[in-house]
Amino acid sequence: MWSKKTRARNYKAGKLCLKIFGFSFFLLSTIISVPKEKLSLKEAEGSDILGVFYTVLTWLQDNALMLVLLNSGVLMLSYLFTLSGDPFIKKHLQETLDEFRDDFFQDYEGEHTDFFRNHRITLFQRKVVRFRVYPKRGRLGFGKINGKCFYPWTGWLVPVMRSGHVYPQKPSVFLANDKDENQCEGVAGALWRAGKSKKAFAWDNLKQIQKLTAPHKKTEYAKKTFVDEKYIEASLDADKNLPRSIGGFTIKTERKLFVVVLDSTEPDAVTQASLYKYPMTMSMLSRLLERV
Amino acid sequence: MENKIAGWIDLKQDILNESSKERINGVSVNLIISPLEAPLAIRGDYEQDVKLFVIRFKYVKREKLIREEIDKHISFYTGKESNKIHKIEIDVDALNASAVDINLLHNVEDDVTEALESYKKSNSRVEDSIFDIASKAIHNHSKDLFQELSLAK
Repeated sequence: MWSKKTRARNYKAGKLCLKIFGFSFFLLSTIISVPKEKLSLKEAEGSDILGVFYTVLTWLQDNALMLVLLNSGVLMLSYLFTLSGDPFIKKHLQETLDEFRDDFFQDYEGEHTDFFRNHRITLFQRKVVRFRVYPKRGRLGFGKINGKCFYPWTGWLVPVMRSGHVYPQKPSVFLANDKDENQCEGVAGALWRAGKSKKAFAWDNLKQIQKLTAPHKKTEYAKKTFVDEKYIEASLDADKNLPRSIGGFTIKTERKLFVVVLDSTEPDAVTQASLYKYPMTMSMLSRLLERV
Repeated sequence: MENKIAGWIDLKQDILNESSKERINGVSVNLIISPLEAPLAIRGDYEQDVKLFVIRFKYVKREKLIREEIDKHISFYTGKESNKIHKIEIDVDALNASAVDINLLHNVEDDVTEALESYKKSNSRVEDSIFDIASKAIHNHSKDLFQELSLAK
């Protein structure tokens, strides 16, 4: 994975490539449109500079096809360099997400030494194709859920950003099948489904789940959070603190769909009423996502 | 966040009370209108210069508006992207509101509700719940909302 500095450098290089492409395109089309007979060296007789200029122009005209292909390569490079998005927007998005987390969970700041780990906001983006699903468990994008098969091209919710800084585990990828609404996984998947009818929800006062908690309680927790029991066991094995309140909403931009999931180890931190607490931050978040 | 700006009536509680039970993957979930879709506040103003009574809805996200005339006296301004109702303009003068009394105020509310209903039937792009919350907000806060109208006359 590239560092932030490399990504920023790549993005700048991509933008420069685009400028080079634009300029070369304009120059080449102008040169090609000049009639060849006008570039006859006889016309440039008596002037050395004009002679050199005409020779260069004639060479450019003769090799126009190769130059056009080369220019297409520059355009392709620009696309590849800017593929990871504008780092400026990403930086602001991360800051907004952190601010949102700080505001949303401000009542709990200082209560735990592990504030960043216990109160999180995760941004998921819906992507159509995904091969690796649960990075930690190594599950691939093939399998069965609710008796129906899913594939890497079924549709997934992929984490793109999370509030805070460094986490030992990456957030999971969840199933979100556009053609079968019952094929959605996790709270992110359920929120994505609720978001289709422009709705949202939050679960508060979920039971505390630890390794030694009775299996039926784990089953109930798994059902409420729309995952299988194996996922809960894997999370407990990885020493993850399972949230006791979780909720969120979807943000639809012109081209993309995002799901914002807020979760906390406090039972009353994420509630239906609290989802309405910070309209300004939500507005800022949705505006920034338009540019992602 | 409560609305501190004068004139705006907070709708948060109305929206939360509007929650509906739905099943997702066999689990019964209490769904509320997404905070990005729901109106957060409402206000009613009589605009002297244009002689129109205007009901405004405040949302998380602002957007470009499109004007749609429901009948000769009532116009709806909806979001270009979301089709949400942002503004309702009522030509109260044309609705024979020259002598406003308490009964007439009631009529204006009825006219708006009726217009909302007909707009709901003709517009399938907007979720019914969004119309319902708009209609409920006008009904629940009619006293405060149309207060300006009685003061203006």
